[in-house]
Amino acid sequence: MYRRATQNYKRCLALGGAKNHLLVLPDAIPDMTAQNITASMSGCAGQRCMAASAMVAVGDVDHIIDKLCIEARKMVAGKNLGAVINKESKDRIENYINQAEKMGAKILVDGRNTVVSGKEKGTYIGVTIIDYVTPDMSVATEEIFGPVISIMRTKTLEEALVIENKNPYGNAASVFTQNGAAARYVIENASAGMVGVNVGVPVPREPFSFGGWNESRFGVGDITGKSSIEFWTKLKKSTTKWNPQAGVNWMS
Amino acid sequence: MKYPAVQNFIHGQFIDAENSDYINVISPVDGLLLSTVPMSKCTDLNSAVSSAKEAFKTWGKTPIKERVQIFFRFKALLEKNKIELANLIAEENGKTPDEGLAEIEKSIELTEFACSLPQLITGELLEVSKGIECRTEHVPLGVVASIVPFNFPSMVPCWTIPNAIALGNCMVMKPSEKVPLSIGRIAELLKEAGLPDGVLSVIHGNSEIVDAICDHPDIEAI
Repeated sequence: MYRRATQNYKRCLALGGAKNHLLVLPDAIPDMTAQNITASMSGCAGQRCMAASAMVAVGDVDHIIDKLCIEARKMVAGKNLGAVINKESKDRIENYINQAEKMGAKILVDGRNTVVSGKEKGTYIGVTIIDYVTPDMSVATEEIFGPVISIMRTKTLEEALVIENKNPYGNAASVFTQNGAAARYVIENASAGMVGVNVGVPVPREPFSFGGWNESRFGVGDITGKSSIEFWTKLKKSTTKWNPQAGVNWMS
Repeated sequence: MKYPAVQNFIHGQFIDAENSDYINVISPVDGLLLSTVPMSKCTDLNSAVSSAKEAFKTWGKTPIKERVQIFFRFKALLEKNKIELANLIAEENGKTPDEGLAEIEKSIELTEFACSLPQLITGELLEVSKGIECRTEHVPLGVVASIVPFNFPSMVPCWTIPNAIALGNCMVMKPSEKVPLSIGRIAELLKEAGLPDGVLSVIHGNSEIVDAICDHPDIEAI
């Protein structure tokens, strides 16, 4: 769309896909982290370009992953967890989970084959947590657009950022930690337009503007906030002189 | 079918698309058939663009302080109708009513920002040499378009509608064919808020209309 619009000499801002990485450090507050990640991955059934889709567990964070599974199981399809948009979407998402399982990932919480009683024709997927995902799996790199999170494990923050940076998208990234220096390091080095610190869905609220980087956004500027002024207007520049005594020089 | 067939919104009126096919709008919540939505043709888009071009002659020249009054009223209408709007979002998109409500709250925040645009958009002026002044001002582009996805039937349209229109443009909106209902209520509320005919049009359809928008010579920005 961006290519077609700009080939026709139109101004265009087109938002693309996303694969948002949440980096979890061992000193993160377990309850807050687990609740925030669950809300980020399951909100709107994961059908948000700001949804948590990949978690990078840096070092030993098993105690946080345990809490995450407890929080995830509190999400009940048809109650506090909505449906995905249609059958094709449900099949596509379940296929991602199947593929990961086949390649050796461990499904900690399994939302496949979810049926809501009385709403059998609804298209639901339960919250799904996939652990021991490796960077070669499709669930590690592609946008799933469902309530699914893929956990990859690294020893260091640098390795975690290599994974984040390598992804072609760049909408959001978050870090969960109580270490200010580590948080600052992630803000500086994540290749994403919107970064959160202990925030699962780092959508900038007005008057700040919304916009990712890399393949998450095509065009110049952001879609909302002050940035939208430049997108939706053009500048008229006028030069005026009313008095004949005004100076005449090389410019006027 | 719970609701009547979806219509386009052109020049302030809901009208049927010309000679178009319709596809079903199914609720992801329970599979209920909610409505049908037209796959509009280029002729429908052309009507919307012509209407927008005509409306722009007046709207583009209306002072921004006047233009944003529409959005103060629109914001109040969103607040007044938020439960109904939230439930409609939940029904057509599948998210929970609470999530629908959060989406309306965000739509309100976006509208609030548009109301503040007169405070942010002042131009610049400098005497560049004796008796000679340079001045800049932000002027609208003209007819613009917005194409939105299914995941936020109200919030994403509110990313573009309030700012683009408050800044003086006239907009053609192409909603997602999966969630075409909420935008109809938004168009109704904007009309109730006093938005002049043609300033916002809604054309439903699929990639054929997206391509036509990308190719239309009278659309300045997308």
